[in-house]
Amino acid sequence: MERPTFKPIGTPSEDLDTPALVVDLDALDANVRLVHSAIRDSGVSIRPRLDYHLCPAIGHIQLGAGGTSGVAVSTLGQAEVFSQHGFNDILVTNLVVTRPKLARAAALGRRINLAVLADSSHGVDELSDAATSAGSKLGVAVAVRTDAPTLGVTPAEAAPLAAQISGSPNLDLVGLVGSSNLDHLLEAVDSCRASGINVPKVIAGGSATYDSDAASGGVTDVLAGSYALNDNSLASRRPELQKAARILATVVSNKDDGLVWVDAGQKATSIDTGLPAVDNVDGVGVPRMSAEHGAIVNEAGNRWDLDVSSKVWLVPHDVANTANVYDYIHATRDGRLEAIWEVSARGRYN
Amino acid sequence: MTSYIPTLGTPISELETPALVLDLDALEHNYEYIASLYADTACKMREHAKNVKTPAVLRKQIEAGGTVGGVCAAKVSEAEVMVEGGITDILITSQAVTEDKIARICSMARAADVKVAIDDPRNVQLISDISSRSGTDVGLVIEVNTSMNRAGIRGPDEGINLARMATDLPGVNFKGVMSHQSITGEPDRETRFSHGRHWMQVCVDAKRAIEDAGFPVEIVSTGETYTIDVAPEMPEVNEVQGGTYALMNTTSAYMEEFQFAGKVLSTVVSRPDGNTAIGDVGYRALAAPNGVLPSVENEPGVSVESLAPDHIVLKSDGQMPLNVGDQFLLLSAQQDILVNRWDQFIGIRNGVVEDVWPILARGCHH
Repeated sequence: MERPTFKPIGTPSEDLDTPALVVDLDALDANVRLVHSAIRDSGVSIRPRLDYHLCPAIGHIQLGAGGTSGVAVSTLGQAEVFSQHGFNDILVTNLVVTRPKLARAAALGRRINLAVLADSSHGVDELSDAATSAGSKLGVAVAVRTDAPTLGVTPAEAAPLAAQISGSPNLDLVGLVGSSNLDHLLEAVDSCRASGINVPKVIAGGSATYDSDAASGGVTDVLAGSYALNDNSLASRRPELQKAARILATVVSNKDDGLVWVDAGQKATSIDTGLPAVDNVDGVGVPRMSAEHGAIVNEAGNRWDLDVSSKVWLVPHDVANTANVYDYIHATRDGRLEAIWEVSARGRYN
Repeated sequence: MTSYIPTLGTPISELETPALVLDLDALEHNYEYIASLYADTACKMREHAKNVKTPAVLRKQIEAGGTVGGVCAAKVSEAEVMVEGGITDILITSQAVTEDKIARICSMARAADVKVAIDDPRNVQLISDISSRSGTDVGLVIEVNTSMNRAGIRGPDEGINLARMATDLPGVNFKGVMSHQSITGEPDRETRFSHGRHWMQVCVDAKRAIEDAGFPVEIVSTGETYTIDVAPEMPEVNEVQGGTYALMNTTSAYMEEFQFAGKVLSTVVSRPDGNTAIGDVGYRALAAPNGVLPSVENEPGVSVESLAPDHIVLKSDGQMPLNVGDQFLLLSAQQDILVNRWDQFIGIRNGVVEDVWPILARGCHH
């Protein structure tokens, strides 16, 4: 696992061992308060997606801010971890189809309010059988697919599946879950209601559209994750959110004019959906990364001074993917270390 | 953070997915190939720990033979895991520039022969100061820039100066030179050989200049999987820093002497239409840096369409042969990034679990 040299509480942020994933607590608190208040003011709830940080301590800050209706994660393994850290209403935004996973879901359903997705009649039968034999209850939400082809059913297929869930032993119909295209989802909700099916919850949305999702008139639970820590893929669309998560890196080699290499590369940032950016320095960018190193270049020809052992702050492109490669989050306030948190659900892909 | 550890003897069909599996026959084939290739050459393998990150696996190559008896590590923390895993000859291939990290190297130097890459005079002075205060000896290896324009000296004069410092200063020992090239995607053997010789020669030239200046060079450590067969033809190269060959990448599949040993086992969870299947693993677990998708093994006509964070979309030419609940295996395009996302290797032979190894240096970016 990650093995930083841990520093005492109160250590200045730039003295942390690098690479380090550092979260500014004031920025995190401000982001959470802002988004939760906006959604609550629209009369609906937020269901934070904890797979965007995988860290129980941050999840508790989100619950503490109010306005929530449980939390969401992306794998059953993550749900097991968060259940051990006091989370008792968890939606797994995933399908559970194999025998061992069905048994695990049914077992967890005895201890917390657990909900999973379904997109086939056979899958619903299997969930019902698993919950019945374990003597537990499972919430099930119909996954509505908006853009073919991914997991989920088409809007026309939603009502029969919802009816089957409602009538299945040991299952509760949670509602419908969709992604970005609300029109498809709301069409599915209408068709359920036209068939006389009670749809308790309509769960959908994203951090980039949290306000319009909340005001859509159909969504009851806004699903959002990256708003808490923020990242470059969200920041350009939501300027009201602060960049709470950054990676501290150290310059380890400086051999060419205008180009230095830092000790954070692909492994320490996760570049699958995009490269990180240098925070708060105009004209300085990250053009490429190798496995263990990142290149920092002076694009604008402006003066800069980044000698060996200088520190550089990087903003991740995709914070969920970055958090997954760290075991610890260094929580800071006013530029000093306040806490070290475990990223307890990292790597729990199954 | 504990993942499910399967009972030994579990059939692969009963494994929880996704899972990172290690084909033990393929791994042993790759290690034995190296042992035989380097059995009688002056040039030996120094396997790079950045790829498999697991001392128990790396020791298999050392036991199979053809090695210098030690490994490379990309980072100080990765080297610590190797020392704790009983490997006593480590070359750290990145510069360590902060006092914390240098102190950790000095601490390791009490238990192992530790060498670290250098390219900067002030860094050498700092390592000497800290090491001599702690009464240790740290080996220094000059990194030579060849094709990457990353770290490394940009000319022989820099190398001579560093070699002089490393020889004269207390607490440090000058050991040699190293370089790393980037010459992937050269399936043609002749091209690979000419590029490999060209770039490794830069490192050899630096070695000669340093020796001509009066500083004996013990180690010339260079090369990678793509130049595994080029390096022995250069008599002054005595170490090869190979890593990819152990598990293999789809991007280097043209090196047919090696077999794919690292694979990701996934299960189909949804079938949205006749020629589409959705699997339970996505880019978070697979890693797809630079946009290169993994490949499906042994399923002709089935290809990877796209990756979502936690899912993979497979397409087939005709009717999709994989149904909900069916397993399939994926081959990675860049397995060192892949391995860094996983907590354990599940070793498979003859279709059942034979061993499970925690990937002890996973996440060792420090």
